[in-house]
Amino acid sequence: MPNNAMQATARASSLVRFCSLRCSLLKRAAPDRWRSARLMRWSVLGGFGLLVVAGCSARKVDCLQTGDSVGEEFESLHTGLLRVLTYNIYVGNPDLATTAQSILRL
Amino acid sequence: MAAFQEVSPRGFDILQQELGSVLPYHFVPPADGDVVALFSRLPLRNAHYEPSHYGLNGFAFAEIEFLDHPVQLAAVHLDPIRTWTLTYKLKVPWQIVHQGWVHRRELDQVLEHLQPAAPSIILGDFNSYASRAGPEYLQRRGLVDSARSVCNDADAVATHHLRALGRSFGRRIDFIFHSSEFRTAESRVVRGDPSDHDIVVSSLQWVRGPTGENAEPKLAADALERRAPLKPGGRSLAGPRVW
Repeated sequence: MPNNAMQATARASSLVRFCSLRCSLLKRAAPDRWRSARLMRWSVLGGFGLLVVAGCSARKVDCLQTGDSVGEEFESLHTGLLRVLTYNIYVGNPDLATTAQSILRL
Repeated sequence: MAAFQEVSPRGFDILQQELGSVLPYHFVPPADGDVVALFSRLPLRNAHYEPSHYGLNGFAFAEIEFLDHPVQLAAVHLDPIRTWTLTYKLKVPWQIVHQGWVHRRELDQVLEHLQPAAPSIILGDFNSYASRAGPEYLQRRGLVDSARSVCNDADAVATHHLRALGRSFGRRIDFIFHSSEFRTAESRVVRGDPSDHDIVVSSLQWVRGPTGENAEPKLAADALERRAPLKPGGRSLAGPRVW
């Protein structure tokens, strides 16, 4: 395992050990505070979960994400389609030949 | 079918040379300057050009026959915010206020050339920076915003990019609209460097006959044989693609 990964694992395990030790001390010393802390923890987790669910459901389709390059290829979803394209090539386009070749691959 | 804007005579020669083998039919207006051009795999009929009465650019019209249905095409380049002279710069506030009116008049001019009940595709550079009047005008007339019909976040994807004061700005100003005889199967924005515009591509499927009945597209026999169910992940075997 690379050094960086070993260091990260060690840090993570010591953090987990610290948290569990702190939780057990808190639980033993102040049960009321422990209960409210637990409630808060679940509230935060629940809120985060709700946010994730809302974010995922709001995202309908990712079909309009900008491609990496002009030449990105994709296949037709169906047969018998009319493919239409609009492109303002820009009057000062210095490499129109390459652009045109890339359009053919769309 | 591809509609290009800002095509110079030299640019047209290059496009014709590079695209001619796949898109053999083309129309470039006999007008001077940088114009709108059409390239197509299907023959273009009744192609003609109309300079804008209200803006700097103009519109190219043509008809194609797709799956035995005549389809009207209109490639547009609506009036931009002009900033390349001092006078124009001083008039920018007025242009911003006025742009919606100009775009509506330009689209009126375009619609005068199209039969209202016939299948139509209107596409191009709407230059809708200061006003969304252009796209909204076509939607109110029953035309479908192709990208928006399949993507919730269509308006969030910029198709034009510019840099000012060290910051990048962008807006969705390139559109494909179609009449209800079509359904958008897919729409995509592809980065268009070195142009400041991106390429907008849509795949349109014929869904309704001229009398309104639902109709399966009339595909050639070999196309029907090659038709395959969608694979998991949304991709299918490539069938005949018509530009």
